[in-house]
Amino acid sequence: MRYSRLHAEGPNRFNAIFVLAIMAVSCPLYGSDITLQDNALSISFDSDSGALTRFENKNPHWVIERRPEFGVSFRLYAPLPTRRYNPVFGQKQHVADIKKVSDNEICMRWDNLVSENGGVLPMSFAADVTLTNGVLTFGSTLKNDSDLTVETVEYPYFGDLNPPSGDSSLTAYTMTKGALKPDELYPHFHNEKGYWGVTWPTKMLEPQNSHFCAIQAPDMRLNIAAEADYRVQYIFEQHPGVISGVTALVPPEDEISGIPVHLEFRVCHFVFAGPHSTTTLAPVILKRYQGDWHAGQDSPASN
Amino acid sequence: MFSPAVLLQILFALSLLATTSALAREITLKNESWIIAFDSQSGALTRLESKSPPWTIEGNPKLGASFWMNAQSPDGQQDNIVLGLKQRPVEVKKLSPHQLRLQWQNLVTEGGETLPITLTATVSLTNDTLSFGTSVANDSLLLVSAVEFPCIGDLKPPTAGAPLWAHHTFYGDLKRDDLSKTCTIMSRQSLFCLIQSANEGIYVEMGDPTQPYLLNFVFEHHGSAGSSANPARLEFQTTHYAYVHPHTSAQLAPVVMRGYMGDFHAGLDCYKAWRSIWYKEPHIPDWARDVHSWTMIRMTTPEQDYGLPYRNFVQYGREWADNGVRAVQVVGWNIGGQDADDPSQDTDPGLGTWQQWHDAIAQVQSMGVKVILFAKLNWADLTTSWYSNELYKYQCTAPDGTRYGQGGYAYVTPTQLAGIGLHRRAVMDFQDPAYREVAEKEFQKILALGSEGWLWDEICHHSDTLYSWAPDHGYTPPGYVYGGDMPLSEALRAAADKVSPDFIFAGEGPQDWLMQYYPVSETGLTSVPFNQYLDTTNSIVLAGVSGFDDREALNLILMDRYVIQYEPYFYKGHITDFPMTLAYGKKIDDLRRRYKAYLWDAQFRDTLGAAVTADGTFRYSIFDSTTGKRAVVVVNTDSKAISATVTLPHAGSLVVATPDDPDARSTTGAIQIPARCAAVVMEQ
Repeated sequence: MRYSRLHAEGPNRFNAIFVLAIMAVSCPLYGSDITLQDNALSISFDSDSGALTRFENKNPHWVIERRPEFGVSFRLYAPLPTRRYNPVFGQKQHVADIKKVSDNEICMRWDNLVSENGGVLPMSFAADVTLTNGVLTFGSTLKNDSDLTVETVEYPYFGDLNPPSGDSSLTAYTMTKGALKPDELYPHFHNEKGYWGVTWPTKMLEPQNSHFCAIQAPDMRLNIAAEADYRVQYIFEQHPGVISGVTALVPPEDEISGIPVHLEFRVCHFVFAGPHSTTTLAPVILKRYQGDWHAGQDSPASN
Repeated sequence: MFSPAVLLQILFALSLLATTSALAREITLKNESWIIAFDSQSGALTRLESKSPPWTIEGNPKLGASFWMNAQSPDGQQDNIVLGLKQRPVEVKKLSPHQLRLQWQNLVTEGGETLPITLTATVSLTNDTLSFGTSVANDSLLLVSAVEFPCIGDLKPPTAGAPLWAHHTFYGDLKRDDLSKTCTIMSRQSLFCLIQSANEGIYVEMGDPTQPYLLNFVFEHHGSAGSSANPARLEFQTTHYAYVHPHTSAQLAPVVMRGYMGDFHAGLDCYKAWRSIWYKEPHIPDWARDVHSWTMIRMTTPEQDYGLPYRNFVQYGREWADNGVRAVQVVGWNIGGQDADDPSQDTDPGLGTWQQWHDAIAQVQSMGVKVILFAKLNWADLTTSWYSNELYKYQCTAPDGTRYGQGGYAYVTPTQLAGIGLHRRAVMDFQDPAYREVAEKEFQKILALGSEGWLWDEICHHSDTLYSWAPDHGYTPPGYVYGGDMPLSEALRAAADKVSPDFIFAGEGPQDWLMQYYPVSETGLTSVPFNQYLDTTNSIVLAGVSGFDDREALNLILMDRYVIQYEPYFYKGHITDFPMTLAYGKKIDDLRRRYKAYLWDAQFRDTLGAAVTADGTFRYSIFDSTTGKRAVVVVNTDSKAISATVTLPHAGSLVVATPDDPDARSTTGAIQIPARCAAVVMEQ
C-alpha cells in the first residue's frame, strides 16, 4: 500500500483510498527516473509525475531524499470564489513534458492542473533544474490562464528528507534578529505552528534580512536560498507525527504502527499570481558545504 | 564639662529618646500571628511582621507607604494623581486590640487641586488572617479609576538574601513569577498570589470571588543600590481598578493575607480553605465521575476544507464506541468552521444539513459516546454581515471609541498559516445584557441539536480587553468584561437545566471560579495540576495525547489524574491511527478502574506525604483514599530503567502494580521501573 499517497490529502483514509483507486486505474504511478549528477550531487525525477524521487550527496555519502514513493513535484493553492480550500497536488498531475536538455539541465512542464475542488484549471507550471559544480538551481514559472489567484506555490518539494543516518541529527538554521536561530529537525521535532491549524508537526521558517535556510547535519550542510521580492517560507512537516508530545522524538524507523515516517521539506513562494498572468518564481539555489554551520558563510549562495 | 564617655552616653540616651518618640507615633495591632503598625502622622504602613512564619515583611519605617489613587476626568483623558504620603489622615484610630481605622479626606492631587474624596481603610487581625478593607466616598466630579491599598514600601525576604518569587494560578496551572523583575498578577486569572520563599510564604487574596472589578497584585522595583535617599527596594501593592463614579461610594474588595510555613502547597491550602466558603460544587453526571476517556475531532475550518461531513460522523462514532471512548469533543461543526463566523452556532451547509447533524449526534450518542459541541461566544467574526449589521453594537470599545479585537487563528493553507487572511474578531461585551441575550439564543441552537454537552473554547480570556467604555450597554461605563462571565454562565446553565441537568459544561482552562459552571477543564498537561490538588473528584481535567506511542504523556496523565483525550493527527484523524497510544491509554484506564479507590476516587496530593528516591530521573504523586490508604504513582522519565524507593510514613504493607502488569505484587517500596513506564505503590 502506498501510504504516502493516502496521506497526501490528510489522514482521512477513506477519501485517500478513493483517490488512490482512481489513480490506480487511470495511470501508472511511476515512470522511469531522469537524473542529473556531477561529482558532488545526484538528483532524480520521475518521468511520469515529475516528482523529485532521489537526491544524494556523494562525498560524504548522504542520501538526502531516499524513498521514491514519497517523491513530490510541487503543490499550489488556488482558492475558488466559493471555497478557499482548493489545492493542486503535484502527486495527482502528469508531467506534460520532461526533457533532459543537457547533461546538467532538466526541464519539466505540467499543464491543465487538476485541482481538488475546482476541476481542471487552465494553468501550467514549468520547472527548470540545473546542476553546475555541485550547485542546484530550481527555476520555475507559473502561467495562470484561469480566473483564479494562485496564492502559493511550493517548489521544490522534498517528500522524504533524511538525516545522514538514523543515529545522526538534522537542524535547520535561519536568520532571526541578527543571529542564526536553530530549529531541530531530528531526532526531535517540535511543532511550531498552532496545533489546531495543522495535521502534522510543522515548522514554517522565514529568515529575516537574509534569504537562506541552512539544513545542518553533523558534518554537512545544505544551504537553500530563494532571493525573492515576495514572501518565502521554508516549511518542514514531520509525518505522521512524533512518538510522544512530551519528548517530541521522531520515530527512528521507517514506519510506526504501519504508517510511514517521513520528513517533508518545501520552499513556499507566496506569489499571489493574479488571473491571466505569468509569474517567474525566484530561483531556489541549493548548495552543500562540508563542516558545521560556519562553513560557506562567505559564499554568495549562503546568503 | 563632660568627659567623652559621658558625652557618648548622653548622645546614646538622646538617640533612644528620638527612637522612642518615633515609635510613639506608630499605631500597632498585634496578635499571635501578626504585628502591623501605621504612622499616625501619614497613615503609612511602617511595619509588617509575620510571627509564623517569622518574617519581617516590611521593617523600614522610612520606606513606609500609605495609598495611591487616580481620579480621572469623566472622559478618561486626564489623570489626577493623589499620593498618599502627601496627605494627612484625619483619623488613625485603634478600634479594638485587633482592628484600626485610617481615614483621609479632601485629597490633594499632584496638580494641587483638592478633591472631595474620602478614603477609609480598616485593618483587622483575626487569628492568622490580616485583612485590609477599603471604602471610597467620591463626592467629586471625577472618576476614581484606581486605588492602591495596601502598599508595602519595602518588601523583604524572610532572611537577607533568601530567594523570593511569586505564584499565581491560570489555565489549571500554578505559574511561577520572577520577582527579580517587576511583575503584575491579575485577578482576572487568579484571586490570589503567593509570595514565596524557600520554606515559607505569604498568601495574598482578593477577598471577593465575584469578579466585581480588576485587582492587580503588583511587584515593582524602585530606587538604586547604594543610594540612601532612594534605596533599591521591592514595593508590593494591590491595585483596585474600581472605577468609582462621581458622587458615589464603593466598598472595595478586602485584601487578605496569611502566612504559612512550607512551599506553595501550604499557600494553596489557604486558598482552598477560603474557596470552601463560597465555591458551589456543580452537578456532574455520573458518566463523567467515573473513569473514562475523551477524544476530539474537527469537521472544518475557515479555509473550507470540509474534512469531515456530518454524514461521516457516525462512522467515526463506531470506532470511538468500539474502543471504549466515552465522549467526543467536536470542533468546527458550526458555520464557518473552527474560529470563523462566531458567535453563530448555526450548522454549516458545506458539511450537510441541520437534520443530518442532529441525527448523527443522536446515533453516536446511542452508541454510548457523549457528543460535546465546541463553541465560542466571546467573539464576533468581523467578516460576517451579522457583525456589520448588528453585532458591532455589542462590542467592547476603548475610551476613544475604537474597537477591541482578537487576531483570529490560522488553519490549513500556507496562506493562513503564514498569518494572512485570518478571521479577526471583535470582543463582545458580556456586561451588556443585550449581548448576553444574543449569546443565550445561540446557545439554544446547541441545545436543540441534542448533544450531551458543550465545550466553550477560550472561555479563559477576552483577548486584551479588560474594560469596555461602550455607551448604551446597559450600565455606566466602563464595564469590567470579566465581570460578565458568571452572569452569562449562570443563564446558560439555567437554559441547559431545562433540557437536562446532566448536560455537561466544559471549558478551555476556565478560571477556578468559573469551574462552578464548567467542571470539565481542558488544559493539557500542566506543571502543577492546580484543580486536581484543590478538589480532585469534582474536577475533570482533560489532557490531549497526540504522539503515536505516547507513553510519556499517558504516564503523566495517570500520575496527575487527568482524563485522557485522544487527539490523533492533532485531532484530525481516526482513533485507530495510533494503536500503540490507544492500547496504552486503555491500560492506564483499566488500572484506574481496578484500583479506583486509590487512583480515581482518592484526593490528589501532588508530592505531599511520601518520599521517593531513584537512581535516575522520575516524577511522582500521592493519592489519599477515603479510607486513609495511600498510593504513590512513580513515573520513570529517564531513558533507562530506574530503581526507585518509595517511603510512606507509617505505612502498612505495600503492593505495586503497573499499567503493563496490573496484578498487584507485594513490595517493600523498592521497585524497578523500566524506561517509559510508571508504577503504582499502594498501601494495603
